Amino acid sequence: MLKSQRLKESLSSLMKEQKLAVLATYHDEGTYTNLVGFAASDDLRSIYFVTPVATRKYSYLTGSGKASMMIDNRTNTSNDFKDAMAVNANGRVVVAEKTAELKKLYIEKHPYLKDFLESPSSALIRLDVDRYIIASSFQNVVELDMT
Amino acid sequence: MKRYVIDMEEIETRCLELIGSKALSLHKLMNEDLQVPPFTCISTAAYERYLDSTHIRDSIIMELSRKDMADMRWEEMWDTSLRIRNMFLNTAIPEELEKELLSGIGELLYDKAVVVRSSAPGEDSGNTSFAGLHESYVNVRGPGPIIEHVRLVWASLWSDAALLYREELGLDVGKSGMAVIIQELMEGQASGIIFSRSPNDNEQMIIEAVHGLNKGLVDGDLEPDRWTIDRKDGAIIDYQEPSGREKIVHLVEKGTVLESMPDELAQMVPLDEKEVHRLYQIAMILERSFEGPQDIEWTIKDEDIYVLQSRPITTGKDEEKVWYLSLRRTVDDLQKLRRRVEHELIPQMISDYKALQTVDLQGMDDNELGREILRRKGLYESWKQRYTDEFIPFAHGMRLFAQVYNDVIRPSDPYEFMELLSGSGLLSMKRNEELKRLADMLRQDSALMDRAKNGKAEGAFLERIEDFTQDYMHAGIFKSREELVGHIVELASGPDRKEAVKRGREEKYEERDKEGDKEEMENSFISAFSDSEQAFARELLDMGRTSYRLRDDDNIHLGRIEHQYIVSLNEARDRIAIRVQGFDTNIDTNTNDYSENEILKALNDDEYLPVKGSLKREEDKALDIKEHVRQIQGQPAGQGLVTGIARVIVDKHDLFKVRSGEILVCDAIDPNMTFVVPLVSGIVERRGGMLIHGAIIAREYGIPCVTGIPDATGIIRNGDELTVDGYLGIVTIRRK
Repeated sequence: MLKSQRLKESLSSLMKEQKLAVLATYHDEGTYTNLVGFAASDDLRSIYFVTPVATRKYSYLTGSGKASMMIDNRTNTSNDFKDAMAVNANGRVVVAEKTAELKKLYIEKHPYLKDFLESPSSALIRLDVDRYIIASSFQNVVELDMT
Repeated sequence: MKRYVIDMEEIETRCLELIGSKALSLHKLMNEDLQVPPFTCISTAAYERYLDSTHIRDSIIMELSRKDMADMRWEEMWDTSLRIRNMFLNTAIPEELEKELLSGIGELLYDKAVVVRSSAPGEDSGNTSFAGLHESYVNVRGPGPIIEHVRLVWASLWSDAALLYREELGLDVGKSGMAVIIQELMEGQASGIIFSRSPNDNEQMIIEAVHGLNKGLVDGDLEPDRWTIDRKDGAIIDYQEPSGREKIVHLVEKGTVLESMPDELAQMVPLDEKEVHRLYQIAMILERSFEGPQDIEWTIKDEDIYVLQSRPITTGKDEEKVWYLSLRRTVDDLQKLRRRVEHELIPQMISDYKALQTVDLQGMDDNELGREILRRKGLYESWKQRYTDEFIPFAHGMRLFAQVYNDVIRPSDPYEFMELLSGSGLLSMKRNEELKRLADMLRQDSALMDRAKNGKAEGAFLERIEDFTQDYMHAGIFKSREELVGHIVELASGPDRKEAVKRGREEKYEERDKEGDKEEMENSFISAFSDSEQAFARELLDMGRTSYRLRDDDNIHLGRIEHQYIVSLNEARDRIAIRVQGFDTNIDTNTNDYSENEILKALNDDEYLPVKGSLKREEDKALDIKEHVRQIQGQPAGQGLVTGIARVIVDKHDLFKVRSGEILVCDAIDPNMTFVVPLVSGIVERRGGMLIHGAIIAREYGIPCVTGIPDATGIIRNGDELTVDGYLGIVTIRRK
């Protein structure tokens, strides 16, 4: 198997296995990070998460239209330097319509967040990924252009 | 692989974790050669599989993480339990698991009426027993209904009572399980209970019996025949006949019904001496076998005695928890309570209040006034006690209705039932409508408005104000006519409160004709019952509505009594102010800080100068903040999303500072304070629960409301910008 193909498969598994990601947003006064429950589309071009509309996170996202997310599989042991994979996804964010198809995608991964997703006061956000930056084996870094 | 269904013949002691305490106890009864109705047991492994395959386990974790249970009031536990129960109600058992359960239960039980009983490991073990925390269902027939009721019994692992006893039970979403017993229902001629050791006398045993099923006895609806037995030799020491054997519990198509007893049967004692003696012998066997005093349920069918269950006698419980459990009433009991509250207690309260109004306080000398203050305080205290003992339990009528509504309708929103209860003419709503009419008078007449702004009222407006004062000016809320007029001016002149953003289901609901929608809901509810059960459904709905209305009205009536007590204290304070001023004209004559004790001393000794209390004003607390909470989760209690400026209520008189459009932040709102609600855009309350007064009034006005925010008045300051998310129960705080 080609190295790049293996990388894509590893990325795909990581995106399926991990439930939480660190979301980074920015605004006039600086940067801001949060943990969010996410689900990625099969082609990995979009990552979805949900936020209440009354939050700072929502206003920063809609204000800047940009965000990045970090998804990783660290276990908080020294083995992480050898085995852990950390992915940074960069791109543009938009408020997505809560269609039946997208709800299914999200709820299949996070069934316990159904009420949260379906609440009229929450928004489903889509990160259109421009590129993935994948770090493994401590300092190996590869960039995947998705545009 | 762990087995999902274990038959009565296959049970072994080592199965305890799979079958639970009750099933193990039935197994022991069989080992003593006692007759037990045939049963089979759905193991905790089936519960575990259901939880994991449907992801309900994760949802329960989410629900329980909403707030630390130690900070929850019982109303909030009831809400938590209701939401969890709704998850089970709306989540079917996966097909494959259902097939396995049905094949394990076996057709033998399908054609018969069965009892579906809880059997949680640890529920009745050793010397402890937590009777009544989990559910059992009598007279269930056929595979579909049996499976449905299994789910309800599973859900009852998370009942409000179980949550209350979570520490004693070791309730833990990762470890706790629930087994279910499916047992043939024996419709005996007589049934009852035995306390193998009387709670009042260690040397005695108590046997109680009724005709028919023992459900009415266990639920407390029937008065039994009662025998006191000498434990040494089984001799009957005493027999107490009930005041009447008027009712009997019968089986109907689904469940049971309490009916009139046929005259002939009503004359008969349900047990003869021989049967009493046989029951005594059985009790002694069980006590030896289980190594401790037992609480035993039995029935007699065709001269055979069947033991239905045996568990350790419950002792030494926390009084507050016992009181809470006593709130769970049956329909018949609630009906009795309703008659008493509606036809005896409330008319008596009104009569007491009116009698107090006619007393001429100003004509009394100081000693008489002192005695009058104490009399009023005594009256108020005694009504407060009755409020706890009788009015609060009647509020359970709403909860009972909620449970039945959710069982038959299975709505996705467990609080949908509130739509059917609201709009039932609360006194506080009538008061607010009258305030609105008074505000309309000012809006329509600018000259009247100008005079009102200077605290003056005249003409027809004055007459209406006088009437309002007679009806509603109580509980020390409106201290003077000026305060009342000031509030009406704010109602008339402020911009309308912000309309909350309503979306989704709520938006669709708003678009429809509300009354028409309610009628449709009512019809759906009633028609979910069979023809013969519809009268019962209507009765239940009516009781739910009355319970909803009286829960609010009770407080208004109680507020009127309290107000009369406050009026007498104020009369005394006025007299003391004159006395204090006579001694030193520079002295602060604000007498509000005098305690009742100081006031009474001063009334009894005309030379005594009272000392002011040094009560720290609660307002200081609001300023003593070191950290800033930015967002906090409570309970969603009124749907909608709104942003506005916080108005924190730390003292009743802060209510008069509320301006139109602000968000009301309070510790615990009661119906005597809800006159400000038409001004506000949202409500945030420390006290939690969906059926508390703040939540009820928010629903009536369609205002977003979040309750159960710990220390709400401490963490939020006046002027903070708040967003109240009444869908998710989140409050976001922005400090300028």
